[in-house]
Amino acid sequence: MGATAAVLAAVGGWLLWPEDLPTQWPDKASFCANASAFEVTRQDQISGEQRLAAARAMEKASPQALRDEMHVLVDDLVPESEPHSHVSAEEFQEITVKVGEFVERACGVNLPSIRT
Amino acid sequence: MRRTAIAVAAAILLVAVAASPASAGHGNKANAGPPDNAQQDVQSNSLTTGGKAAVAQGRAQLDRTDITTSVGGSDIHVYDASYTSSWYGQTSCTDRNWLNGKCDHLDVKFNTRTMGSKSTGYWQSLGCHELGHTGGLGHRSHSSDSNDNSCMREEIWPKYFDTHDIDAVNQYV
Ligand SMILES: [Zn+2]
Ligand SMILES: [Zn+2]
Repeated sequence: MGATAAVLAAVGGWLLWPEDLPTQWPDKASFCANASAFEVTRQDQISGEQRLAAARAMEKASPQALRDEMHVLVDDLVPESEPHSHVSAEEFQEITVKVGEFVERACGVNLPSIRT
Repeated sequence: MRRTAIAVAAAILLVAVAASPASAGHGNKANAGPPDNAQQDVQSNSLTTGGKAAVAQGRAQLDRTDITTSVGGSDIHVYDASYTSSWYGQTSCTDRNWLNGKCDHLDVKFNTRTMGSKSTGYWQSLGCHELGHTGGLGHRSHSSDSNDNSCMREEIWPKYFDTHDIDAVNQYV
C-alpha cells in the first residue's frame, strides 16, 4: 500500500515535471541554496531586502528556461522607487506556483502554499 | 512548618496561573504577514454577539487605512468558539505567498472561553487588534505608544488604531 502510493507519487511527479525544465544544471547548488531562504519555517525571519537578494541570486543561477519567470518574481520584490515592471495578479500567481513547484521538486525545499 | 511552606508555594503558583491569561494579551500569532492586496473580504462564521461587535470594530479600523473591507469569503475568515487555550484571539495566515510573504487567506479566531464574560468594549478592542494583524500589524508596547491609544497593545484594551498603526498598514498595501 505504502509502496504503491510512493510509486504512484513518483510517477505523478515525473509526469508533472515540465518538459522544458531540467533536473540538473550548472548553478543548481547556488539556485537551491538561495531558494532555501524562502523555506516555510524561515518565512517569519526574512526581511524584504533578504527576499530580494535571494530572488536575484536565484535569477542568476536559474535554468535558462526559467529566467523570464524569475525576472517577474524579482520585479515583484523591487522597491517601488526602482524601475521594474508588473504583470497581472493572475499571471503573478501562476508564475509563483510554477517556480515554487520547480523549487520544491528540484531542491527539496518546502515552500508555503505550494504543494508538490 | 513544611506544610506551610508548601501551602505558600501552592498559593503563589495559583496566583501565577490565574494571572497568566490576563498577561497573555491577545494571543501569540503576530506573524500573519501583510495582506496581498488592499481589498479584503471578511467572512463571519456564525459569530456570537461579542464576535460580531469585534468584527464590526476591526473592519471600521481597517477602513480608516488604505484597505477597504467588504463582506465575502475570499480573504479573512472569522470564527469564535471556546478554545482550550489562554489566548483571547489569534490570527494566522493560511495561504502565504512564498516569494513575498504576503497573505492571501487569513483565519481570525476569538476565544469565547477567555472573552465570554467581558463587555462589548473589550470585544471591540480584540476585533481591532486581530484585524490589525490581518493588515500586517505587529504588537506595540508602551515605549512606542506612550499615550496608550493603540489597540495593537497586548496588555491594555484601546479600541482604535492610532496614526502610527494606520501609517504602518498603508506602507504594506
Ligand atoms: Zn511596483
Ligand atoms: Zn496580537
